Amino acid sequence: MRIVGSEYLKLFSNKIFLICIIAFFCADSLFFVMLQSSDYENSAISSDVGAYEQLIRECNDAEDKNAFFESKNTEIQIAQIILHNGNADEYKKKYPKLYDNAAGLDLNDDELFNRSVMLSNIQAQLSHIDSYEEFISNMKSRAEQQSSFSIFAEPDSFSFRNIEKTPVDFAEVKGVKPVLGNNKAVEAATSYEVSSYILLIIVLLVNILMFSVEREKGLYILVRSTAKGRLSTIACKLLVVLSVTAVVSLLFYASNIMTAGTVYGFGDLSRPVQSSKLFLNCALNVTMLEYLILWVLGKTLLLCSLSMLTAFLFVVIKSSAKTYLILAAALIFEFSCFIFIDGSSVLASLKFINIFYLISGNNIFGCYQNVNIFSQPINIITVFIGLAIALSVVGVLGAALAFSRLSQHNGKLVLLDRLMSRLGRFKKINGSVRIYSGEAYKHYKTSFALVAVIILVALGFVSYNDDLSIIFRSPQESAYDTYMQTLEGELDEEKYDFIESERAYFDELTREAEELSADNTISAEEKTNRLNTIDGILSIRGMAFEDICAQLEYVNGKAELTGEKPALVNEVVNKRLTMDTFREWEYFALLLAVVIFCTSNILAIEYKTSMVNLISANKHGKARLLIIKLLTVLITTVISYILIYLPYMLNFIKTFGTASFDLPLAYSRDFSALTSGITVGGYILALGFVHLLAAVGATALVYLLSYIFKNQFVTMIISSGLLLIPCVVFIDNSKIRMVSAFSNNAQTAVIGIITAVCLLIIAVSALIIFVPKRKSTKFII
Amino acid sequence: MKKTTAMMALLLTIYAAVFFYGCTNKSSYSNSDDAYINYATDMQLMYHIGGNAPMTKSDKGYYYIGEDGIVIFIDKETKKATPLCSKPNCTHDDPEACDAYLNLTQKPDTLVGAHDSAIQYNDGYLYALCGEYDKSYINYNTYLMRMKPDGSQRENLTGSFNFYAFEWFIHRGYFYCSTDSSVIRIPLDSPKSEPQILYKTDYYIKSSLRAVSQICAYKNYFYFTADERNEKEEGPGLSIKCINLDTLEINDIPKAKGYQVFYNFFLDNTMIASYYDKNSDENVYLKCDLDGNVKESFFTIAHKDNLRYSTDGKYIYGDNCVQVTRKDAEKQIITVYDLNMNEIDSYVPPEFENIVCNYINPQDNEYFIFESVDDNGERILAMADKSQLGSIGGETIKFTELCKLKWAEKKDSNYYVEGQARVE
Repeated sequence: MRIVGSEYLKLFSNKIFLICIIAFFCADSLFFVMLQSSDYENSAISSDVGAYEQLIRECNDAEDKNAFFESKNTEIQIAQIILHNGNADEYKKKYPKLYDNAAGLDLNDDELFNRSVMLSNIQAQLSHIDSYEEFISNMKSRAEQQSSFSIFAEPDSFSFRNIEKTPVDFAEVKGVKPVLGNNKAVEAATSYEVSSYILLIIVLLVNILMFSVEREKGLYILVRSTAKGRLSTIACKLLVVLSVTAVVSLLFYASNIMTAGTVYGFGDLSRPVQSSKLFLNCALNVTMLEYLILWVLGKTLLLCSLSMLTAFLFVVIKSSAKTYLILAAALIFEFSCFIFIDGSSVLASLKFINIFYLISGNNIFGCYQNVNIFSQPINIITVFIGLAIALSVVGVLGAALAFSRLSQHNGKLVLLDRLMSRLGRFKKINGSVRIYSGEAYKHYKTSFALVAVIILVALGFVSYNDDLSIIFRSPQESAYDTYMQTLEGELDEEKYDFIESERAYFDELTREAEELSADNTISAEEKTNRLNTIDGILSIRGMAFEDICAQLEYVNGKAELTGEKPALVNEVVNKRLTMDTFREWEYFALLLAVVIFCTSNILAIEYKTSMVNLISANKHGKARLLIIKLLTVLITTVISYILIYLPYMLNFIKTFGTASFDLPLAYSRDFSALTSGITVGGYILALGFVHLLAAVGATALVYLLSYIFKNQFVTMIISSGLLLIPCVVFIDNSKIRMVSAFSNNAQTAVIGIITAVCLLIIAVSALIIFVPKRKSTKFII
Repeated sequence: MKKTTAMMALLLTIYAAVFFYGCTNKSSYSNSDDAYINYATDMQLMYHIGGNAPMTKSDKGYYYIGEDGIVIFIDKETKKATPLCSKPNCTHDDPEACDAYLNLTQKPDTLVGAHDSAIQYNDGYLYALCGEYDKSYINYNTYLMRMKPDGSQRENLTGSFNFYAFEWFIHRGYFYCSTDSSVIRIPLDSPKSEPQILYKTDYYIKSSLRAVSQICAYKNYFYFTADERNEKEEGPGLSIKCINLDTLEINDIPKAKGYQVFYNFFLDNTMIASYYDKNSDENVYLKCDLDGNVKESFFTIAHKDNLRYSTDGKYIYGDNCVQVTRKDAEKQIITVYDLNMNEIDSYVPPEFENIVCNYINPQDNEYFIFESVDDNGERILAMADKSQLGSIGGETIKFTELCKLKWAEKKDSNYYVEGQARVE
């Protein structure tokens, strides 16, 4: 018991841990509120929960629901007319009562809109409630009908077994009667997924602090010397990890539920959970409150079992970099399976038996799903419980066995060491060893930065040789591209002449078609053939030319505004270079991951080997060494940046050339809001500069974190939480990209803010690291 | 004596091999209900050549894919239809949740007929050409999807194509498709291999269906219409070509009396082709060998009375849809002939929103499957038994309603996003 107490004390006396928990908690709550306000229905309901609940009550009391909605909608319509001083006399005569009600409404335009949104929400709920009974009662007959089809009737097939099992499982909810009510809080709290991702980071953090840090301090040697110390210690450590994970998870989820309840009101939680359409496929006969409890317990149980498995990994793998790589690879694999595998795919089991599937939304208890395991339909709840137990057992037993039997000293990469020592034979040391050479050796070899660079070289090779040629979506698009081979660039006399000649050609073609239609001297067949030919030309080249003309008109208007010479940009090609929001995300996320991986150990290694004491003893050596270290990681960042971005650019230039680079970006209609005269090339450089600056800022931040935490793994996890988690959250939100800043003409402000933030991070990092402290460097962790 | 015994033993072995080969699963597909084609391994002519029916036939029934992307299975035994989804808790109205939904590749509106053969059954699997935009909604990726007959175990068989596939089908172990300028094929046993180019032209319009169209295959021959012209109308122009799949030799179908001959359908190792004789204002139908060489005349019909002919291997069907479209005829009538072109019956297909019924392909020799409308005006899928042919006498064919046609709203948010991306 005393050991447990001590472990708790160690964990909670760690300021970093407490700061992280508080910071993550605040970030989680902030994200929750932000995401809620971005949904117009949620905003409308939260703006006046009282009115929403009043409408629900009135609807429940109304005998004729259709008449209720009709009258309420008319009321809103009248109120809008009155608000804008319009003539509502007709309504006044026809619906005097509704007119009086509307006149009594003291609402502005937004509030009236919110009311109509609330009504739509209630109407959709009612429609779901009306159809629910039929949906459930027909389940058996649907199943019987389905199994009567020969393709589903194979007794040993998953389909047949699934059809047989589903009605049996849904029999439990046969008598359930959904009730109209305020479901928003339950829906919002249970659909929010960011908390789960943050909790995954916290699970890792707790494990690092409990296992990795102590190992790196060499304290396990003490534990190993006691007779029963190892088993008792690991048991206590696992207990602490488990309890902290459970308490923090409960805290986060409960907080979300409470926040949602405060924003939307809880409504009547004793109603069946199926009252919300979100839970149409829930096969559990539970109330909303019971569902919330189940939901929280389910997620917490999953996180606890994951924490046990992670503990096992931390005990069994002794290198922080290797643990990070294995965990990152496992999480990327799981995430990719969750995102990219279709539910009917041959690999569907990988999608369902998946951490991200189970941790997301209401997938465990809220949405009925059977998983195909050797053609047997296994319910997702059973899968979840089985997986949680399996992970926990493997985690606990594995961690206990590994901790008590294996040495907890860091292992070494025998092969790499041998290779390096062989290579070292050919290297002669002339005079004193330069600091940079030593740092580079430590950085690229010991911290595996070289591995990251080699992987990037391979990726760069693939990126350079990737086929970028366009598969045109229509003949018009390819005809447009063909025109642009001639017309792209500044518009000179020659190009204007070409456009005029084409215009004349199409005018002539149209005239010829009109004459042909009126011509009775040629046979019907010949007429049809010739008209078809003309139609073909007009519908492909003609349409493309019309698009060129529209672009020309746009460009002339834009040229007047910006004062630049008019020019045509090939929008089909330009879109691939400037509008690829996913590539922008992908490259930047990759760069951040490399920066985190390569930078986290730069200072931690000195603390780990206690070399920091030597450095501190040197008067000027410390600052110089820190600068050299910073330089080392910055060089790696720049190399990584070049390896990620340059091959694609070279490939693009190889495929499409540089014709558009000196043309104003605003001449592309995708950037119609842009008022700046920045060229496409300038835009690429600006984007490149911002990404490089952000990467340098990220490097400085990770460097600072490495200096503060003095532990590679803690730095990796905290940096991942700060830099990569927001990236994952915004993977699908293409508005949060530099492209959007330019297309919305907000580039100056955005670049300014990013530059300021990056410079601030760099300055703060420099200040904390390089300004001498009065106190000597001490270990925080 | 020894020789005789050895010969006997050899003959017995060969006989046994042939006999037992007939017991394997594969043989159950071969020529099970007609000798027209092997529907399990060959391109299903009766669902493709006559029109654009998004249908296919398996040994257990038929598959139909509607405009909403929901695949409907029609059981041959029970004559009932259901979406290809084995979840009783699915109402099939949500493409995100329903297993019957296929994300079929989207073709530009201008490419009429490009949806031909949207789904095909072949050798124990269903195939469809699926596609989706990349995450940035810039590039559209198309690939061949394969799944089990019950809709399970879907897989991206080929990976994303680096070309735009227009018309396609599976035939004798290969995926064939037309691009804007070529005919290519990919072996199904090595689906990620580099496509083999069977034909390529230099005179074409990029991304246009015109250069290669009307592809079909019969036995070991591949046929297509080549309209070799670029944007400037330069090139050799229209021709009908044939590829011998044994030798991969490409030949033009020979002209008859100076007129371009078009293939109509195939019957008993014979190509039934036709041309329009300008002088006599008649359509002349010919029996040709599979290389397109004329063997004999089949029949002649006045141009104004010409019908669209097709066959299921048992009957020949003549459809007056062209006359209806031209408003020369009031209603659509299908005339049924025997294989010697003796008229045996005629019938009116089920009503379809007061227009020409979409799907009057010959289909197999057992059933017709139509799109129609029920009493409430809702679009439905209907099925008619071909055993009534010979006794309909020009009336509306008797049919049974199978199920509604539209189950879900098509998931086409890609186009929406693309439209929204450009701020005009």
